[in-house]
Amino acid sequence: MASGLSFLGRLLGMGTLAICVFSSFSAVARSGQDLFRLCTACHGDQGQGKKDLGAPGIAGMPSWYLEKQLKNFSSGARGAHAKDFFGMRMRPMARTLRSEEEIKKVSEYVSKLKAHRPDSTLNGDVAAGQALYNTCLACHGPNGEGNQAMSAPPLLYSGDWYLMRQIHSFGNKMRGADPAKDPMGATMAPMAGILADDKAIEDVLTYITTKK
Amino acid sequence: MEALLLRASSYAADVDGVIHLITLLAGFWFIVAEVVLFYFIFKFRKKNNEKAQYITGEKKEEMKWIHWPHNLIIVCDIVLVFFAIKAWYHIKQELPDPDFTVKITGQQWAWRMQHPGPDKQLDTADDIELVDELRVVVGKTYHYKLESLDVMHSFSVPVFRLKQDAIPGRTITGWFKPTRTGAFDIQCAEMCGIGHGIMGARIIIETEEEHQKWMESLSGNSVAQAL
Repeated sequence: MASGLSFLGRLLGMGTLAICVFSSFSAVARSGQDLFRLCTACHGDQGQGKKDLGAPGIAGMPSWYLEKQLKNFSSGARGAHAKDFFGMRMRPMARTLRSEEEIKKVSEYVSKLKAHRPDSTLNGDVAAGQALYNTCLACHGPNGEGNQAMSAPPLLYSGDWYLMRQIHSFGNKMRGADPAKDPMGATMAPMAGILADDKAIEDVLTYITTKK
Repeated sequence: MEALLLRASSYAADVDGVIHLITLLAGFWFIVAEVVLFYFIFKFRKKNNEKAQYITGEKKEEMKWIHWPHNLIIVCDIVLVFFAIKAWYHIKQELPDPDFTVKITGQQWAWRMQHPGPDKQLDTADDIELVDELRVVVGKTYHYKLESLDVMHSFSVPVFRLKQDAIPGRTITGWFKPTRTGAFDIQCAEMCGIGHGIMGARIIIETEEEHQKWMESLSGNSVAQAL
């Protein structure tokens, strides 16, 4: 009887130990590189983006922008519109990041990856695009390099197909519709309206892809 | 079963009944088999000067140890299949007249819920679309039209004991009738990609007054977006 109880005691002790070890492993701080592994399924192993999956290039994008967007997805300020197919896909992934610390870490890691310039997929009128870009350059810079002071991201690394989708999203109020939730997006939303039609969007994006 | 997981649909008890029956019958035969096994282990344990025999199982008194349990288990199977089909037919084949119809669309990795607006008709201008949130009225019969935009998903509401695959290209119609108010989990029960494990949503079951208030709070939007 005594030996049986002793065995039971040892079993309970080992179980408790196993739980403690498991808990300590799960509490281990994950590095930016660890966290980035999940992103690679859609964004590519170098963060270069995958057009087939609708996932833009993110490598080399500034950390302040990535951080803000991850927070937007996580809070539902972005990716929670019922018609935003790709945003709804990204939103739960952003929610796998368990804290602001993790958002910061993965953003910094991705921002340090070598930036890729995706191939152009559009064939618009460069001259017409240049004229239209004059409105954009106030925030995004003369070479599409972005400007943190204006909360404007670079336009060179995501892919023109992605930028086109985002301009449509802003125009359709799928993104940036609520200034309280997404003030950065709300600034862009009326700007998207300046581009009158798909031809104008294609022209300006074609012009952007010519930037060095 | 309800002690482990609440029941919140009119047919949850039917599913639980089948699970109880399976547990009862399988448990009974498990205990019988173990008792017989250990009894034989004890009865035919090693004894001095007694050689083990090889039994071919061809004698009538040996064969009955196979035949009788076999026959009895077939009877149990027939009983199980009868009650399982009865529950399945009620849940999956019958389609009671609905009070409301909702459209549920799965995609990687979210649920889009389209509710009828104040006109109570689906696919009209006042429809209310939510992401990862379904709002229904307790005591009302709902039809759901289930679709998928990309890969296979499975719309699973554990408290309803409901699980239905969503197949790209098909619209699958089913029904449920909530029986208690509260907020409960919805999950995807079909492997659908890297985000499958986090493809959760909530179902809010509320009274008619609460539902009306919620709709009024969204008035002014033709297709309201509640984040």
